[in-house]
Amino acid sequence: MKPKRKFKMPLRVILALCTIACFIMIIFSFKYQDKINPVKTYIGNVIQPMQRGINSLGHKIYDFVDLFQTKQSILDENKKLKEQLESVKSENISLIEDRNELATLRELYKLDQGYKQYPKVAARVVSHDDTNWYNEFTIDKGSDDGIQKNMNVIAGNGLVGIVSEIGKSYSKVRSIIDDNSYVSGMFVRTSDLCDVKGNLTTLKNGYIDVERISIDSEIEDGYEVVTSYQSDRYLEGILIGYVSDIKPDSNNMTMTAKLVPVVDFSRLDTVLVITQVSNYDELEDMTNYD
Amino acid sequence: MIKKWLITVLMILLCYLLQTTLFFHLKLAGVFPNLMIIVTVSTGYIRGQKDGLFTGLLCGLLSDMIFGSVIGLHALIYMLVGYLFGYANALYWRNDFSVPLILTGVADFVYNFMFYVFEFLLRGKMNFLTYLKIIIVPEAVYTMLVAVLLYKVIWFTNKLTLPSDSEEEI
Repeated sequence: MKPKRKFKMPLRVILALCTIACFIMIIFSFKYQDKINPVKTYIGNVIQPMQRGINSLGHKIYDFVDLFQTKQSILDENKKLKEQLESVKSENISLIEDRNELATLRELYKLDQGYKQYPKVAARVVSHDDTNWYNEFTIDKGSDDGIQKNMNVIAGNGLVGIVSEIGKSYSKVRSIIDDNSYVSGMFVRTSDLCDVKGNLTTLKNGYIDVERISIDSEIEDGYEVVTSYQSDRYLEGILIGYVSDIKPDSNNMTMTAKLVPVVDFSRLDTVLVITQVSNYDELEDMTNYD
Repeated sequence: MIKKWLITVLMILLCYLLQTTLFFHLKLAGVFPNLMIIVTVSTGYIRGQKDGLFTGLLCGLLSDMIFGSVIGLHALIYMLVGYLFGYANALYWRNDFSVPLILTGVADFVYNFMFYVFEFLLRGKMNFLTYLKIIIVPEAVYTMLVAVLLYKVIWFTNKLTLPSDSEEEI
């Protein structure tokens, strides 16, 4: 009975104090984001090497599980393919292969023209956001490697996201599929502008939203969306994905569509950071003068 | 006292590291489990409200520092979860492994619900049922599955480090 009496009253006080402390922290970090960042990066610098160690183990386990899961389907597929292989002449196969290769090479050539002039740095994905609600991750390059805030991140031939926070040897990347993400996009073939927004609810089906497409724009399913020249944080001409399911809005002024990103976010392992920042600061200065 | 908290801090750190790296690769149904909620609830269940509260606070602060945009929000949610589920300490029975699993599932639900209210509802995302289907329920189930193992580890660590404490609280 005695310890209960001893603990009961202070506990409520502790709870109240901690709650107040939390609220103060929320307000403080909301108002003075810059002053909080050094503390955050300090802790990040401590945690990040540990994550890097465990992550390498994670990759191995993932590969093992993946092998286990896909083994049966691969075996079935193998059987089918063998039957197919017999029925199809070898000449025919080589022809199809050549054609596929040509198509991908053509596509690569076209895409590479868009952003080959940007200098890039390769980085590995280390850890992911600890909630299932957002899609952010850290990479193993930071301010020591010349990474800056608002640098664009790509993988393969498509846009992944933007550097949202930097530490000494790590940086945080917000991907375009994140629910908070917003990218100003453009259709390559028609130069129509649109907004690409991450959406958690539709992401499960493999696509995100494209909004505010002008009703006059003559777009069709499968058109490519790249980052637009209007964007203040994203460099121009990086491929985002392909649209489908274009529908007019109820206001009859704009259209919305679905967008399938070119990057496979579930298997993101190595990314490229473009070490050139969009002229965001200049724009900000200009608005300040106004 | 110091030993107890040192081990708790190490446990939180380890769970955080596993959650953000290893378990991301072991996603089921598009979600990964929330190990920190297991630690918070288990500590509250085994050691009482006060310890649950502080464990939750530590978990939340760590989460805020690494990935949060606003510091204090996760800390507040985890702390409240730790405090609330510390009430279950009254039900604590050494060899009972089913109650903490149910508690973990409920706590994960509560955590995600609060997260939804603070981060999504306030941004005008109303379709709660969709989020319930794609995130909250799968995560609660997966977390419960992981808790089957992790609770035993936590319980055993607690038993080793503070045999006298846990006896007293029964």
